Amino acid sequence: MSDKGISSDLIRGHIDTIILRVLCEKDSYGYEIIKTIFQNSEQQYELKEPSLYTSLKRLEGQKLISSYWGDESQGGRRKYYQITAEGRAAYASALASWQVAKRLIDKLIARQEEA
Amino acid sequence: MEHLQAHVEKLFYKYKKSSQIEELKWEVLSNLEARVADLVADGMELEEAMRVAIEQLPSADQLVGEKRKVYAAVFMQELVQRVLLYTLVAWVLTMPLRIWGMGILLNHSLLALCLLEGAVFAALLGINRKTGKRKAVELSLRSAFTLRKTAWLLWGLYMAVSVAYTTALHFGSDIWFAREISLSGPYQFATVAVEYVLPLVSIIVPLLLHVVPDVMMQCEAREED
Repeated sequence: MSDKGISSDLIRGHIDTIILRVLCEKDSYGYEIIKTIFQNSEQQYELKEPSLYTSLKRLEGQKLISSYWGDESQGGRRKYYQITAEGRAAYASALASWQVAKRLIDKLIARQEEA
Repeated sequence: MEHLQAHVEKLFYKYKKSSQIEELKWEVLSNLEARVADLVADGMELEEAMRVAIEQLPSADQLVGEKRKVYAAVFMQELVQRVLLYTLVAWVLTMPLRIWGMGILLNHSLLALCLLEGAVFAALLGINRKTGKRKAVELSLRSAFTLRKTAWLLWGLYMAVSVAYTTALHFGSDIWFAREISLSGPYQFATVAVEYVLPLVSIIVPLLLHVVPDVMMQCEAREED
């Protein structure tokens, strides 16, 4: 198993939160979300399109985000996603539980050098 | 850019026209255009950018989210393990039935089945240890759920018919020929009871198909692979 594989396994459970975080900043459309995540990860993680659509569909079903069609003058119209109030609350609680988990897992995994 | 639209249309051709699919198509197309524009902004030729963007586009099945990429060997191993478990339980449970003719046959066949499944499982385990997660196949989650529903329906039907048949065989004579029902003792009673219980063993089949969707999701291939 490659290092990349391990990290992608770990990331998979947090894709919804990662997308919510992007939408917390501003409304966004599919490709822009992927690009923003890529930049936030310092070019290390690119979200795949199928995962993006599945996740967006799920989030919309849970009413954590809503969507609307933009009015681009040229080219195809883009589908924008907007975070809802419930979405912001869900993001905050996911962030809090991640921070708890992060500290805990760090304690359990990282060996302490000094006694 | 018409080229991109034609490509997306082609990608989704086998999907029925529904408003959901149409929306997804527009969304995929607009994201594809954005990617091309982005590549061009980074200094790529338009032709090359379109080729690269189209190449990166997943299949429509993946975009719709119906097909799941599953590690074939791991998936098979998991299923064989389940069926082995079910057969073992059935074998143990049918042991008391060995007193009666059909029971002996069934119990012995179950044992033979266990051994066969055990051998297949061991072989798969050996293969997986070496090649592991090399080959992923695309399976339809929706079909798996349909299969599961159909299996339970057919099994229910089979059980109903089987119970009706046994009842008619043993107790029908009373209705049609005015002969008395002969359950002369515990042994006779048990013989009849066994005939009712035996078909129940076939529950293994719907049980196995019931877990297929779960196992599929469990053995899903990672994105990076």
